Amino acid sequence: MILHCQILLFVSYLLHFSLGSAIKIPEQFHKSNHTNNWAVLVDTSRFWFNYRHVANVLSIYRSVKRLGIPDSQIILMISDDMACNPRNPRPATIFNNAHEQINVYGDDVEVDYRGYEVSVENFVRLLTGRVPPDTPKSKRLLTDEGSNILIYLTGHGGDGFLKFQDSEEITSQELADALEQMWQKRRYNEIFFIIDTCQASSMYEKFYSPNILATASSLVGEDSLSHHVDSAIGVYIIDRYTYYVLEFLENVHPNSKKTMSEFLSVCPKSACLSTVGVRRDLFKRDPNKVPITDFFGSVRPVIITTDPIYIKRAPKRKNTLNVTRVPEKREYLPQFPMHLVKNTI
Amino acid sequence: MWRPEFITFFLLFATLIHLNKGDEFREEIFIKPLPPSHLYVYFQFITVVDEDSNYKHSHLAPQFLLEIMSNYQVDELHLTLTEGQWKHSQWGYPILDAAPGAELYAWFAPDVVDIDNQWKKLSSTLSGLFCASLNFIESFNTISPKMALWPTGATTMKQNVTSHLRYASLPREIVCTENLTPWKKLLPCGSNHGFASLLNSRMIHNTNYHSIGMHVRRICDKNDCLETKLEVKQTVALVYDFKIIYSSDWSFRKLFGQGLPGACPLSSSSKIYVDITSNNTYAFKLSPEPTNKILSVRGGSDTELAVYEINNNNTEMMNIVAKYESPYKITVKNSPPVTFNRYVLGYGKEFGGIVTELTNNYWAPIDIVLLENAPWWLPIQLSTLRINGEAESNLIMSQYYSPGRSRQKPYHLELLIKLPPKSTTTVTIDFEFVFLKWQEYPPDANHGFYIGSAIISANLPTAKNYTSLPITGSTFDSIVNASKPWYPIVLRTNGAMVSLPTPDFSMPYNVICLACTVVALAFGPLHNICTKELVLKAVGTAVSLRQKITNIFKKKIE
Repeated sequence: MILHCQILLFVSYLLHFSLGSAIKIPEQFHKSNHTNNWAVLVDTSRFWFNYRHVANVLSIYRSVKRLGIPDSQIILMISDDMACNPRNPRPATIFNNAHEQINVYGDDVEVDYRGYEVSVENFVRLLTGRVPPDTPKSKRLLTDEGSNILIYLTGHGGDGFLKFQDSEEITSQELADALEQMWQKRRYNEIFFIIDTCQASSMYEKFYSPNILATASSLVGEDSLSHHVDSAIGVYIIDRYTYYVLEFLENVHPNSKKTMSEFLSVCPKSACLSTVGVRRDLFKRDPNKVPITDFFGSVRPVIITTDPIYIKRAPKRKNTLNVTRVPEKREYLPQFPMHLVKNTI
Repeated sequence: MWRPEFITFFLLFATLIHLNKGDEFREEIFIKPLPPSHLYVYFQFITVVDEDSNYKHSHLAPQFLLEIMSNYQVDELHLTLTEGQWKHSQWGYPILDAAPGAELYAWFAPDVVDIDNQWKKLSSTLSGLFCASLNFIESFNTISPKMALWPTGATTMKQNVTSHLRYASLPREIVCTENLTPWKKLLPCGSNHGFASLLNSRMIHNTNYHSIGMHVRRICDKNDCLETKLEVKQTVALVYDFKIIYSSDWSFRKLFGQGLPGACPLSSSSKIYVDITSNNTYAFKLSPEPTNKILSVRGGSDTELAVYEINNNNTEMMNIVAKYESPYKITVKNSPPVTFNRYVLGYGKEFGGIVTELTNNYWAPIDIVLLENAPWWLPIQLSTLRINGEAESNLIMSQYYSPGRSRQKPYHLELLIKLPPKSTTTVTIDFEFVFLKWQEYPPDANHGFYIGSAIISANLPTAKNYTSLPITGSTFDSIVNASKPWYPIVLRTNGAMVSLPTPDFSMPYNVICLACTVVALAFGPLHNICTKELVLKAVGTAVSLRQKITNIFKKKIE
């Protein structure tokens, strides 16, 4: 791969010298060669006062689902139940602002990991694919080397760690190692990593695997702040960064031409009150030319062929289930241990 | 309304139904006002699958459910996800009772060898299907009840029925839209057609009690029962509080946020039953008029039902409205034959006890089975069992006790008790608190630990407050005049919560701080003593106080 790139670079240099024009990166570099899209959306904090983190993660969930990633390819992890929490005055809803503008919870949400299942161990197992053998399909990240993965984390964090459930934490090194393991196992094509937490950029600084574009709501030494309080629930309703991200994503449609660089500048310091960090060095493509739907949607190039394709006739499966069942006499049993009652009388 | 694509759509389904004659789908709603100011709404969606296909193929039942049943060789399966507490003494008995949180039990086929392994696989598969944490079901919270639960379906097993049964409940499990979404996807019509379109998550989670369930069993095809069918019953039980919907007059619009668009095109019968028995004492008027009215005499109690037959060629939304003639009236209801109460005793962090009070309101003795299921971290000892305060009691006819094992097996106690007429029997058993390991505490350990509800299985001699279907019936018409000598019922008590001795998780940090302070305080003087030399000074003449003060000033000036 590296050799291949070097040859291409060499060719481009040759072109540069011969034609005397500016270096133009070949078109292939901008085209994504991903075949499927996945999303891993994690809210790591428990307890009612962290309502805003659930609203954060559901905002992204709503957007990726609207832009076409099916529920089977979204792994949603929510640590605590806010929608049906007894403290929620509007059951089965989670809103993005106090005016009840968007119910980000929706009517057809599917949460894959919830409650105590959201732990560092389960998260790393999910990413690396080392899940227990009986794990159902909805709890597995069944990605391949053609998968573009959107990873979104929100919760409470510090310099170099992110807290899970208020009781354990994942360090930036552990996360970087998990992503490297994914790369070595060919579990992704490209990753877009978003994290909304305090000192968020510390979480991506240790990444060393290729093809990762990372963004964070705040730099090291900064806090990520919440947007506003909803007096009906008594706590902050959403975080600033994700609030503006949702506002931006609401105007994105599956065929819109918005690019990743527009997404990366979605929350200027005047709005976020913290500096949004971006790490581009691991990512080979130019974010200016990467459509946002490469990560947030499931838009794939469709090639229409006019030539007929002949499919070999598959051998018919033998009907092995030719067992003649012997009719068994069945009956309804009494619903009470009557034999024990009679004995005592 | 009759657009051409709709007609073709319908014809296509009609032919599908015709091709697979054995499969049948029915949907029903049962509505009953409950005292003092509640309304019970019970949905059931029944899919019956013909056995000819070996349960591998069905046009109406979800494929993966049939695969689960055949791959794991499950004979009968019951799964409920419940939020809230059914108040038996106030509301009477529900059609199907459910424990708070998640409850799963299943009977495996007689030829299954490694039941525990299949059980583990079954629970983790269902956890993915229903977005619930059923994968937390392990050997340490699974029991196989010996007397309390019996298969409701037709079975070949005559002996060893209970050895193929596994039961687990997760009282902490939350129930919300994410559980209802996959549940609705199992229905042949999905969530947009038929009665399921009423299940709007914002409305049904704004109730006092809501429970969704899935019950799969085998039912006899004919009287000889040589051939069986698979019955998949999906239920939703809701109890609305008139205080929450701000009026005692109810309508579909108020309860579900919308009217009923019509029946599911795939259903062979769609009926709504409204219990209008209370109309005689506390009158209300139903509109539109029901299709017909049925009077059912069952075990000495009369039930009057208004029946609406819904078809799928409605042109407008149907909205059933009940208007009460008098604004509000307290109705005194006969309490059901067996009522119960359960609570935790004790103080401190060493010992405690669980008390279950069982009241028999009937004039004759009633036999019940009480199943107590205590987790391993709450050891209950059989020696501390007391019935009405006495260790020996002739009320117990049979008992089963299986002691738990730390981190492997829960404590399991079952008692077959004869409840004397018109009396309250108190069953008390003591437990002691166990220290967990540091890593075993959940993140919110100070919230408390939930104990699952006890199961009470009774054979009632009267059908008062009894709404359950007879075992041979699938639909509501089977309760009409279904008098039997006994009315079996399985009830769940309320759960309980204890606070285990929970350590201060910031203790290690505090210890480090304290230890460092102590070391620092000790280190200073010790270091001084070790490094500084004590020098003897020649003893001069005694210095007077005045001299001392002048000496100090002298030094300063220097």
